[in-house]
Amino acid sequence: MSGTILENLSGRKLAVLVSFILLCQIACFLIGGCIAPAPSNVENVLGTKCLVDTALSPGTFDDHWHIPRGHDRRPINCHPINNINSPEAIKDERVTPNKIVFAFQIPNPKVNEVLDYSRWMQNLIGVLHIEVLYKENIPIAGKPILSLDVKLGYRNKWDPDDKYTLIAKSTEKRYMSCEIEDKRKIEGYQYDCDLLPLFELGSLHHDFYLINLRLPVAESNKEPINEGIGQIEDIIVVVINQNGGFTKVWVSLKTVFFPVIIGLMIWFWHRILLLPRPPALLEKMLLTLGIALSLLNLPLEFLTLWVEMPFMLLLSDIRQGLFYAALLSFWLIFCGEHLMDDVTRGRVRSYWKHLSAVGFGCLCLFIFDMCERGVQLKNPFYSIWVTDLGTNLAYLGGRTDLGKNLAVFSALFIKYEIDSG
Amino acid sequence: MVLICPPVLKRTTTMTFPLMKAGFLFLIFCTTSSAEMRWLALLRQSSVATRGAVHERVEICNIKELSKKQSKICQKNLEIMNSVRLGAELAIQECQWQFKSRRWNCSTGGKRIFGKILKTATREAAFVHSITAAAVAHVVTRACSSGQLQRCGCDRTVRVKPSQGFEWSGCSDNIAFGTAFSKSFVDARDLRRARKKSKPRALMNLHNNEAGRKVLEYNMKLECKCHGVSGSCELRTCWRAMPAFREVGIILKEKFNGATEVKPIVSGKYTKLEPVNIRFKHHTDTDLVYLRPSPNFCELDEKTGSLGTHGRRCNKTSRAIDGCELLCCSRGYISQNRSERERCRCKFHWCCYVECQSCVRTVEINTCN
Repeated sequence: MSGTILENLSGRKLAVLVSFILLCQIACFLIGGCIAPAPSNVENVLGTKCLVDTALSPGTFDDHWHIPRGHDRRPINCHPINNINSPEAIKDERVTPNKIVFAFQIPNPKVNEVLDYSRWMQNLIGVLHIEVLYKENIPIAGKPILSLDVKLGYRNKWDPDDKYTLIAKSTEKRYMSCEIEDKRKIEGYQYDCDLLPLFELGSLHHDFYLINLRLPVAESNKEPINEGIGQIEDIIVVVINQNGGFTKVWVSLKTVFFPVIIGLMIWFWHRILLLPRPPALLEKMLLTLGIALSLLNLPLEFLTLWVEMPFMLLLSDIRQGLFYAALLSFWLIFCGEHLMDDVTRGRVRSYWKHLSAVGFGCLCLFIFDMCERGVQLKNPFYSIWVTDLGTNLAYLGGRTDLGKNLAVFSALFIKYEIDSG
Repeated sequence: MVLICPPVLKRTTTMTFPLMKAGFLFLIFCTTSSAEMRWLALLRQSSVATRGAVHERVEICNIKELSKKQSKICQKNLEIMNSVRLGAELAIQECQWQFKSRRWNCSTGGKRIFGKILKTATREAAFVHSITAAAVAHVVTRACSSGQLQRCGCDRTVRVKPSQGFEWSGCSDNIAFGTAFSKSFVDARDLRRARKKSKPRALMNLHNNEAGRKVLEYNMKLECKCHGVSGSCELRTCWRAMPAFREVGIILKEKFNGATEVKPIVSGKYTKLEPVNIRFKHHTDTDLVYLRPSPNFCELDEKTGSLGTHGRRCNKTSRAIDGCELLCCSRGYISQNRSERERCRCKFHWCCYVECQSCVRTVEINTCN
C-alpha cells in the first residue's frame, strides 16, 4: 500500500517533524501550567437564616425573594436569626420551621468590592453541606429524607437591588447520610454528612444569583416530612464555577488549533484523493477522528458571552463523548489493521462487533447524560444521584473514569479476540 | 513575681493627661506588668456597631486597652471588630465548657475579663491564649462565608485588591483570611514586645496563639466534588471545611493536658523557648507551652487570681478531677437531696421547637466545703 505523507518522508525530515510537534505540545503544557489558573473556583457560602412573616406549607412558594444583602446591605424580606437553636429562638413562638428561609446570595463580597460573576465563568454548580450538631436526645434517624423547597433567581448589575428573576423553583428530595464515630459523640460535635447535590447551571449568564431554601414541615394531620433530621445548625452551599482565566486560555488554545487542524485535514484528504487507489479504511478513520477533534475544538464558548446557552454542559459532554467514540473506534481499527494475521479486513463491516460495543457504551453514557443534564435544562435542581440506583451509579462513575475504563475494556476485548482466533 | 499595676493610678493618669502622655506614663509604671489580652475589653463594649455614625464607631477603637497597632487595625477593619468580639465570646464559652469540672473553671468577670489568671505564664494562660486566637479566626472565617463582611480578603495577605482578579482566578478560601486577621490583630501587642525586648512571656503568647490557629487549620476537612463529563472525576474540585468549634476546643484541651514547661534560652540576639526537661520531646507547633507552674486553685488567692473551690458542685462517684475528693482539695463536702423539676422525654422538631414533658426528680447535690 503506497503511503500518503509520513511514509514518504526521510528519517531526518520525520525527526524534525516529530520534534516540532513535541515542542508544540510542551508549549501547550507550559501555557496550561504557567498562565492558566486552576480550572475552577470554589466558594463556601454560609446561609443567612431569615425569619419571614408568613409560614408557607410544604410544596408552596411565595412571590417574594428573601435577600440577605439588599439596598445598602440591609436585608429585604428577611429578619436574620443568628442561631436558630439558641434558647431564645426556641422560646420565641414566631420561629417555626415553615417561617425559616435559608438565603444564599452569591457571590459574596470580597476586598471591599461587590463581586459579580462574569460570563467567562461558564457554569455554576451548587453543593449542599448541612451542619448537624450531635445532641444526645436529638439523634439523626437512619437515613432520613430531606425535603427542600428551593428557588433560584438571578439579578443583573443594572437591576434594582430587590429585583430577582426566577430561574427555577422546585420541591426536591435528598437522602441525608450522616455518621458520627462513637468517640466523637460529644455535645457540640458535627455529624459527618455526605455532600448533597443542589443544582447545576449550564450557563453563568447573569451577575448575581440568589437561592432561597426552606425545609418545611407538614401540618399535623398530614404525613410528616423532614422528621428525624437532627439539629440542623447551619446550611452551607458550596458553589463551584469555572475560572474566567482558565476559560480564556482554554478557548484561545481552541481558537488557535481549530483552523490549524481543519487545514491539516483538508490537506491530508487532498493528498489521499491524489493517490491512484481509493482511500483505505484507516485513512477514513483518521479523517473521522479529525472531524470529531475539530468538533471538540470548535470555540463555541465565545457565543456564551452574548447568548444564554444553558445547554453548554450537555453539549460539551456530547462533544467529548463523540470524540471518545471516534478515538476508540480508531484505536480498534488501527490495532485490527496492523495485526499480523491472514484475515482480510479493510472494511468497517469486519469490525461490527467491536464498534457496536463502543457505540453501545457511548449510547449508554449519552442516555445517562440526557437523564441528568438533559433534565437539568428544565430543572437545574434535578439530580439522578439522589435515588438509590443513582448513588450506586455515582459510586461506579464517580470513583472511576468512565472514558479510560471504556478504552481499557475495548483493548482487553481486542486482546481476547486475537487470542481466541 | 510580676508587679501589678494599681488600677487607680491608671485611671487618674488618663484623666489628668492627654492620651499620649498617659500611655507614656503607663509604660513607665507598668513595664514589669504584663498586659495580657487587654483587647478582651472589647467584650465590655455593649455591641460593636457597624452601622452607627463614623465617630461613634471609631470610638471603640480608641479604648485604651487596645495597643496602637490594634487600634489602627480596628479603625481600618471596623466591620470585622464585631466578629472579633463574638470570637472572644465564643472562646470564653468554649473555655468554660471544657473546664466546667476542673478546679479552675475559666470563670470570668471583674475588671479584667479573666481575673488575674492571665498575669502569670501558666498553662491556663496558655490555653486561654490559644483558644481565643482560634476562636477569632473561626468567627471571622464564618462571617466572611456568610457575606456579612465586605473587607474579607482573597488571600493570606489581608490585601486590599485580589492579586489577579476575581474573574481570572477567583478567591481563595476564607480560612486563609480568618487566620491572617487573627494573627495580625491578636498577636499585635505581643509581637512588638517579642521584637523589641524578646520577652519570654511574649514569645510564649505568640507560640500559643499560633498553636490555636494551627489546630484549627490542621483539622479542616477536605471535601471534594467531581464534575467532569457526566459527573465523572475527570474534573474534581476540593475545598476545606471548618470543623465545629467544639472539636477545636477538645483538641486544645488535650494540648492543655500535655502542655510543655519551657524556659527562655538566649542564643546571640535571639531568645528561644526550650523545654525545661530536656528528656521530653521538643514541643511541636500545635503544642501549648508555659513558663510557670500553675497554683493549685484550691483557695482564694488575690495574687494569682485563683477563686478557690469553696461552694463548687462536685461529683461524688467520680475519682477524676471532677470528683469531690480532688475538686474540694480534701476539705470534704456537703450532700443535700433536692427535688428538681426537669424537662424529659423531649421530642425535637427540626427547627427551634422542642416538645417536652416535665418530670420531678430527686437529685443529690454535693458542694465543696
